Amino acid sequence: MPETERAAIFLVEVKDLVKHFPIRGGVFLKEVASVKAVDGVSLSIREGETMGLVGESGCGKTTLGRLMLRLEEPTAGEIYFQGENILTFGPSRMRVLRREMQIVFQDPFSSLNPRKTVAEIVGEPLLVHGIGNRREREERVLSLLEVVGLRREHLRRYPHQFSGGQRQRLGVARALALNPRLIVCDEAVSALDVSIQAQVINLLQDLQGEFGLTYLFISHDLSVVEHVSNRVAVMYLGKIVEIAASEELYTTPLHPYTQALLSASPIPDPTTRRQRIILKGDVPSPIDPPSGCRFHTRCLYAREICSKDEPDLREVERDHLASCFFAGQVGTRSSTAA
Amino acid sequence: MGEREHLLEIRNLRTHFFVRGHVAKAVDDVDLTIQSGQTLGLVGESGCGKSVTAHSIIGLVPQPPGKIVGGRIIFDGTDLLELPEARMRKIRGHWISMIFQEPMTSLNPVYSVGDQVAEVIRLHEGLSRREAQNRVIEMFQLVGIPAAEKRTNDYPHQMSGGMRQRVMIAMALACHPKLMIADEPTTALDVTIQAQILELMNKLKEETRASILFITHNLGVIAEMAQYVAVMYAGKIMEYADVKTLFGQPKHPYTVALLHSIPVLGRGVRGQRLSAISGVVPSLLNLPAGCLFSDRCPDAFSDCLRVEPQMYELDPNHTARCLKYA
Repeated sequence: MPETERAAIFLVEVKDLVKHFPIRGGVFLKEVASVKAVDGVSLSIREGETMGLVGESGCGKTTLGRLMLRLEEPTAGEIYFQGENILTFGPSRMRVLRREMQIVFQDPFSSLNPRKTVAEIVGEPLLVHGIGNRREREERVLSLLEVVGLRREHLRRYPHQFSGGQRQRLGVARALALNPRLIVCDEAVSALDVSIQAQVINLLQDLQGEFGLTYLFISHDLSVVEHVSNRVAVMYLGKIVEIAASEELYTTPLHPYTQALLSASPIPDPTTRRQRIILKGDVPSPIDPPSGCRFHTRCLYAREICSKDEPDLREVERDHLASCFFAGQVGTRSSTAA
Repeated sequence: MGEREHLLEIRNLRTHFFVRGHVAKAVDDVDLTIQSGQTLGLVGESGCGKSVTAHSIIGLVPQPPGKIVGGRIIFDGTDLLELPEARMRKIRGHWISMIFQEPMTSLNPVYSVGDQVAEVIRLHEGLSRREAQNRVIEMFQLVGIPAAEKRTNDYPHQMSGGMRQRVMIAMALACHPKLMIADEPTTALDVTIQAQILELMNKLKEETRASILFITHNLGVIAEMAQYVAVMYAGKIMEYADVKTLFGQPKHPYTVALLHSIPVLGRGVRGQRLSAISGVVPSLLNLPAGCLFSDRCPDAFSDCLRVEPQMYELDPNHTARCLKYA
């Protein structure tokens, strides 16, 4: 596919992205080891789609999201936004680009400044980017509050006067202020109670329809990700182990890790009794990940080759990628069947 | 203490908090029954009073500001609320034990995990240091901690979250309790580790015949763990039923709404909206008159705003606090 055509389809593309965080020690603070948070990830997100990113804590999903917005500088790799490699951008070009990409954080309590009013918090992106005068900014903030389901009288209030769900709406309003094209939702609904979580998920979906937004939806909750995503990527220890269309991934997971993850998620239906795959042990440390396939230490089907060679993320079925030597040959074909 | 059908009976429990001239009715008129060898799930959103209910049973409500202003908690024939603290201390950790949500903060960072589990055993059963140590190793093996003997010397920070929660379970089971209260025991854990811990708890329950009060906000976990479920909202039990009935034929509008508001794995249809519950959980300092759920309820009629509903029996073992069934 020619570059221009790719740029038209894919809003964001990352290639062989690597982020190692150094661990320093000794008298001279020499780098003694590194946390391999993201270790060779390639991922493309189409304009207008929701890409789900799931994985357990410490797998690197948040770091990947932050890299995509260049909130962290990658150790290696390339990031393309609308076909341009943004890692070559200087500070001023990057600043202009930041209007196009925003983030909603997990914790609505720590991501809003407690000493600022709603008008200041939601209006800050406009102020930073020098958009409009005071009155125009306030008009914009009011219309944003309306969009996320808050009211005019909330304008002069402080974050502590809001509930968790309302605060997350403020976070969404702030992210929308500059009319971005990409929003990274990093565990955006995980801290909310179920009845409120549903409200915010619905809001995010409505906004996507209204403004044609593209989401990277990061979560550890598989059922929420299934509900919102067009495609889903599964991460384990800094690498993507499987990517497929949401329906495909949830009905025919090819990677043994995805299969285990799906079978481990509790289903709110006592009449469903599934064959559950219980993984042994814990996630290994990303400081010193296992050789070969990183999952081989916990994999039920690991053979000799798995501890020696590293499997590539390859197209096993059409548009369904998995990084397992035996993808499609092992495990449950349908782990959600009763 | 002999075997009874009802291991724990809570009647009209009211635990209130007195803060700056206001009264927060964290637990208000709660009735619960746990039978021997069964798991009762207590489910609800944050701030609904599920943890305060647990703390009331085990005598850990901070007083002041909290106070148990009424009710009875009958455990194995004895009303725990009438016991002096000295006798309560003999029951707590021995016959009733508790597993908390965050294993990092509920273990003491300056003692080895083995010593912490041994302390419980020595305190309640008066075993010698060596006997207690042997029991600890036995317990660690039971809860699936690899290299049990060696791991007893570990400090909490040397263990992963899943391993720490196993230590908590070992501690809770060390004195063969009759009732184990698990307050969000897997909420801080990853799904694959959660699956390990849930499987372990179910296995141990079969082996020890202990009853479990399982507190969580996660409906999926409740469906897999509990035989009976009580749904709590703003300090009151809204519905109580066996697990199949509660998930299959929920009657209270809050239970119905709660079940509809979560996406279910393998049944997600993208683009389909979740039926969210409008509004927010009411503040305990400013509860609505009549039914507590009336301001968010899709089925509310005029009486709901004035009349406080009771628990109405729909079937034996199925009750709901809704005027529709009055």
